[in-house]
Amino acid sequence: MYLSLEHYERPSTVEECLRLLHHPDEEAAILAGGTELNVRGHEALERVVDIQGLGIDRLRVDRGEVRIGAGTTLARIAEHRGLAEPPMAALREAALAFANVAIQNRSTMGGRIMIDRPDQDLPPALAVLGARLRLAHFDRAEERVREVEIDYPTRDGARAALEGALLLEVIIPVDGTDASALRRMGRSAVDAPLATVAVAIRGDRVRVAANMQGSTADSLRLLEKTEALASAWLSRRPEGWRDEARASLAAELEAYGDDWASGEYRRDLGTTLGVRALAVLFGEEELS
Amino acid sequence: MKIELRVNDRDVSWDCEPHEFLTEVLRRNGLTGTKRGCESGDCGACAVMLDGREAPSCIVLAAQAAGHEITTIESIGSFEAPHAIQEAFVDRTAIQCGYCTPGMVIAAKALIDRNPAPSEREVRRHLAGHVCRCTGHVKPVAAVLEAARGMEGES
Repeated sequence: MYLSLEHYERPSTVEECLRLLHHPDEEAAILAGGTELNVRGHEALERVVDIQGLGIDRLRVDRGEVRIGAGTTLARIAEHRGLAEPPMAALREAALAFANVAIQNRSTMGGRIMIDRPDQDLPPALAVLGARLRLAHFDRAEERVREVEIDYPTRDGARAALEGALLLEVIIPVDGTDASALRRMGRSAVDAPLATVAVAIRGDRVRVAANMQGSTADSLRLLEKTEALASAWLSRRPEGWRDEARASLAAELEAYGDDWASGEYRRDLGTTLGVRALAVLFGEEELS
Repeated sequence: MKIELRVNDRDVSWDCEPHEFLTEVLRRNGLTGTKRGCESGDCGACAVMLDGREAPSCIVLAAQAAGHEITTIESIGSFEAPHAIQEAFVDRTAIQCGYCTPGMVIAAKALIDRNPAPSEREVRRHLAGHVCRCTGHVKPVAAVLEAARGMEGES
């Protein structure tokens, strides 16, 4: 609900968009699909800047990279034939799992990335796939737009690079990624996940990342000890690898808080999901 | 502000405020088949088709819909000439109080338009965002499957 919204803008250039966003006398916000901004309560927001006219909703698979415009909807990501192959399975699964079909038709890649909340499926998928972000900033001193590319923020404080920026595109390398998988679970088919674990084989390494609802602020975790174990298992997997993986995941996932579910419940859920995701990578379980 | 859009195959120019959502503007212009529900995109009562895809009109600003094509339940069928999906809902008694039904029919239409022979799993996925307070969640799935079978070869 908007209590003070007086201006709806739909700029056609990135520069115009950034100028509107940094209006000195008004509180303004980027509006993409609206599945977050339009749902929350806003007392002071006076201006929304709709990015649908910027032409940043294209999805291309080209020269060993996937390039996904920030305005691309989750539905288009889920349906794109170029993303149906095993290397991008985690990304497709994350897009398909979010909320309901109507929301997937509206919610955008950019919106999901800019929202810093632990109940998200996309961050673990983007982290294990080695995504990069192309951002636009408005340089006031030089009165011009500057573009930068950063690694997907997976470390404490790394999200500061997104402050005041307009996300233009997500770039995901395809070459060098053999397979990926994502397992998540919520209370119902349309609820936000209580835990999400994504895994990928990139080169000779297995990457493992998790997001836990109700977790600490920097909830996206790269599970490095489990990564090291699982990477060693690429050449030879011991018979009891599931038990070892379970112990490693349980040690790395924090049992924190009692929001939505107890911390212990989420940790055990994340542990089970992690083992199942690894089983998909190792060909012992099927992709959903 | 003035917005121009295409609603049910008709070009319209409507007045709205920047903060108004599409549900309200549709209803104010006589299209009351689109229902108010949760106002957070969770219940499906407000579903319309936006450029052929199901969208929750309660969380789409009317201004966001400018330049787009909207299909509401009013253009799917009428009392005198119901759509095959609506007939299937009646035949399968997939309606109780009827409040959630327009949204479910919209979801089914959007699905069948893109996939004329959906599996039960696909139908369930597309109806998952539609909450029926009368708890009628089984019969709509059967109705949509029956409608799709009946419509085979139409498109």
